Amino acid sequence: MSSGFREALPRALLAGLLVSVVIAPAARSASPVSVCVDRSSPSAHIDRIAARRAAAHAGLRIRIVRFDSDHGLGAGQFRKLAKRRCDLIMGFPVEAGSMAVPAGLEHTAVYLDTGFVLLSRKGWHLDALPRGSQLGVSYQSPPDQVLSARTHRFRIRIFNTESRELAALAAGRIDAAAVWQPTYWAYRQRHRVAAHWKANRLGLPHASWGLAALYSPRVRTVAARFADALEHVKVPRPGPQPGTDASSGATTGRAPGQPRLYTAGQARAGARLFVADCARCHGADLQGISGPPLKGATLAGPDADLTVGDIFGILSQRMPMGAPGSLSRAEYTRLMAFLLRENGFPPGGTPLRYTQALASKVPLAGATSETDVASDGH
Amino acid sequence: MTAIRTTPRRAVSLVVAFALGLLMPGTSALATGSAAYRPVTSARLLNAQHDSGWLMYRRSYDSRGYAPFTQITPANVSRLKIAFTYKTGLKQGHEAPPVVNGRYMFITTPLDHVIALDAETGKVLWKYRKKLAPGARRSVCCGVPNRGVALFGDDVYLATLDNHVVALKAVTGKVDWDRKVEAAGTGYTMTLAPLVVDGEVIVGESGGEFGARDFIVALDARTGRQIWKRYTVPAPGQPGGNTWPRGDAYKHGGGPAWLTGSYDPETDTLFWGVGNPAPWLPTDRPGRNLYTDSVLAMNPHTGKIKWFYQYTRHDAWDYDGVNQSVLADIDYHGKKVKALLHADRNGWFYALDRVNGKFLWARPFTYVNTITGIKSDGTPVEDGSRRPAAGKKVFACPSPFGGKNWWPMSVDPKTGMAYLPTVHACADLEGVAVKYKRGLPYYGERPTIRHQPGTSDWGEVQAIDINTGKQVWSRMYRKPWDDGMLSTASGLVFSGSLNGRLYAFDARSGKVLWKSRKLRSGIIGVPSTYEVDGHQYVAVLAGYGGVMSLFGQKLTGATPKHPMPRGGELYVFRLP
Repeated sequence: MSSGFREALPRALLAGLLVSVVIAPAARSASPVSVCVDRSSPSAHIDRIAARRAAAHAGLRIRIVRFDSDHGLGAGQFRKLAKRRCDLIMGFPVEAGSMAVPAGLEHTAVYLDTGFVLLSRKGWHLDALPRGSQLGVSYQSPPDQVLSARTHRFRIRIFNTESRELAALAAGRIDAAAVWQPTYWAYRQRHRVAAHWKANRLGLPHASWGLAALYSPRVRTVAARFADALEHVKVPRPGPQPGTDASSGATTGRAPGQPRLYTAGQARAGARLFVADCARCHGADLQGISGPPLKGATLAGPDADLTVGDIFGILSQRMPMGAPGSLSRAEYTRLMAFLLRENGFPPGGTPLRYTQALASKVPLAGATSETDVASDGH
Repeated sequence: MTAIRTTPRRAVSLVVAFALGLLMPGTSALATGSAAYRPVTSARLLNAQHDSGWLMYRRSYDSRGYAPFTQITPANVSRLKIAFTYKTGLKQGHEAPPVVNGRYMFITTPLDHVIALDAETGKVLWKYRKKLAPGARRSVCCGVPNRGVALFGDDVYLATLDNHVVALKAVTGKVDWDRKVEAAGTGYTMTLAPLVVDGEVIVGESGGEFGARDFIVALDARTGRQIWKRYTVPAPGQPGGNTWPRGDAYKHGGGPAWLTGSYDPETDTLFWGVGNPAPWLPTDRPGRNLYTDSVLAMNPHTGKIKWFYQYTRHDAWDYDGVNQSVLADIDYHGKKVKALLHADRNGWFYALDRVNGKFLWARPFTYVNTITGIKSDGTPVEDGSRRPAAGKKVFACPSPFGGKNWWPMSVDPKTGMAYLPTVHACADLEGVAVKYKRGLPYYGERPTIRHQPGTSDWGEVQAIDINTGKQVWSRMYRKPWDDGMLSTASGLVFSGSLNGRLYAFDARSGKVLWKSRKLRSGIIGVPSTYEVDGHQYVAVLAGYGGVMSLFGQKLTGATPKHPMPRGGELYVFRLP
């Protein structure tokens, strides 16, 4: 815990606490709901934002209480926290497929899909790691427990902490690292070297998790309101912008030289249209509701093998489903610009044209795989 | 666990490792204290009609959706109260019936979550969430639903959107086996509840809107090993292969088998509905396009086709013939006949002889202008001017929603009636050029939904005499009636409305005897009923979504400012 990464967290936390202090006076009259955030957790920032947005949505007054799990917590401590200090405990990892929580406690729906990712400069997937390469895991983490039980063509290096593991990756002492995704996000905030890494879903058992809030049955009524609201708020994912110095303002993880197919203004106009005509089925965050996700693997995954023209054909001929073809050509083109932006294409000086979009053979694949990790949650 | 507590380590790893520890065998606190689980044998499935639970999708192999329970009656149904509820936390369409074995209830949600609950108290026993393959949702036409589980032995079976069949241990929710039957996101998805027959888990693929070449596949319930696989679109040289043009059209011909089949133990025959050909636009696939829009009668041990009947030939309207086959005996010219009853998307109610596939009779149950008659040998008569072509728009009734969509009808052998959820809608269908691209929509037609001539109502609940096909009673509704029907021996019919109320109708008269309060969201989940400890329960999932939310906004009256309420919630009712 000696890296700069460790020191970064309290600062981020402080900002959050200041906000909660501002909120607090208004809440003084009736006792606010105490929502605990683990300050040692790399997802603390996201947890706080999720809590505040859920509270605002539900019209609940909350007080954010920090606690520190740095020395480890067992089920008893979580129960104790839930009993004494916290109405809700944010940031508890529940595994996809099991959703197990400490006995006696309940959990809300998952508000952020995450898990373990494989980081490397080359963007390797686990099954493509070259023979003899070195893969870092941290001691007793699920990737360690799953991988160390078997032999592989690559070599496993076990680190005592994830920050040491990431330092080793930064120094080139290992070729790839399996880490908790929020740890990677937090690390990337402080270390420019991480901008050169690519993250891929770690295709292993016990690698897919979600963050949920824990609560004790005694606060079920309040928790239900909070949980309901959590389902409706948008929780920010640190997007695929490893280059924080990128000046375009677009969420681009693409290498320079990618085609610039649309203008920023078209994409902005497309974003507004999307809210009005598309978000109902595809989600305001493009992660899909009844309609498919429009971001990441679904559209831009390498296995999808789709071109801009393929998607524009569907968009302009079939959408919106209840009234296909009901928008103008310019509107469809703006929507396509927005989809391109959201899938990592940079804006340029020349606007996208309808006929050009229909005929475009530019492949959509290649947007950073970071978005893929998120693409199939709910 | 002890190692974790005594060794300081990075916080999140600890939390994760702690949660992982709960998964290890023997440490699950969630599964303890539950009642013993009674294995579901083949004998129990054959006798499922008389079980106290609800052991399969439509309760019994005959797919009647009829239960022998009599505690809840027309006289006391108005006293129904909520016994427990459970929020799933998902906003998409919830289409599954609660499946119950003893005290164990299993529900599925959109995106392939399974939740096991205590059927009496609602206590959650375990949850399973399928982590879907990237891109799986590329090829979904009509939302991300799942229509429930199948039970066999100590396992619970789930078919997934990324084309896996997953066997979970019923008591713990742990994965017993997981088998991929097709790649994800390539046009195929699965949304149906599997059917278990004689130790085989049988599932069918969706993909009629994506140019998949669909199939039905049977897996060994103990291991997941494939036993047989039957493409619903034959290849050139196979029987029926000449009903497709030369070339690759058959490879993208659709024929989705996306609803659970029925099984007749007497003749040892598996019945499975097959859906629409792809693309919707018929121009590039001249021929009858077997076995689309058909029912297949198969040997359940080999998948071999004994006979078939095609409801719609060379379909041009998405008359997806997948709706369930209800097995019931009817009076036909003074004789008792083992019949197969079917209400098709094309608006006709059919009776076939289920022993040999012979067509008995058919009657329209809604306004139809496309298939205007059916000859005594079962050959449909068409109005040829109702076929769309590229650049040609036609007014077709019923619309692609069908006179009845997938929501299952129920047949009550005591009243001799079939209870149908009905949609009254037509469509302007405009043909447009289309090309196939793997994983993407493949329609070639654009529907604009219109009112059916003569009515401004979109929905109806109706009872049809299964001996004649004639309507006995009818109740018209403003919104489409898009929910499965449940009938009970006490003379009740339960079904939910898009307004979010569960209804109880008098089975003989159609009179509304009870409506629940407005539930959290519109109901499109199939109701089921079961008994535990002397109480009869009626269970249903509310949670609007699915096909209507995508194509049918106009029919529901929803607007961007006044959307349909969303959110999945299980409601279980009983008498006080």
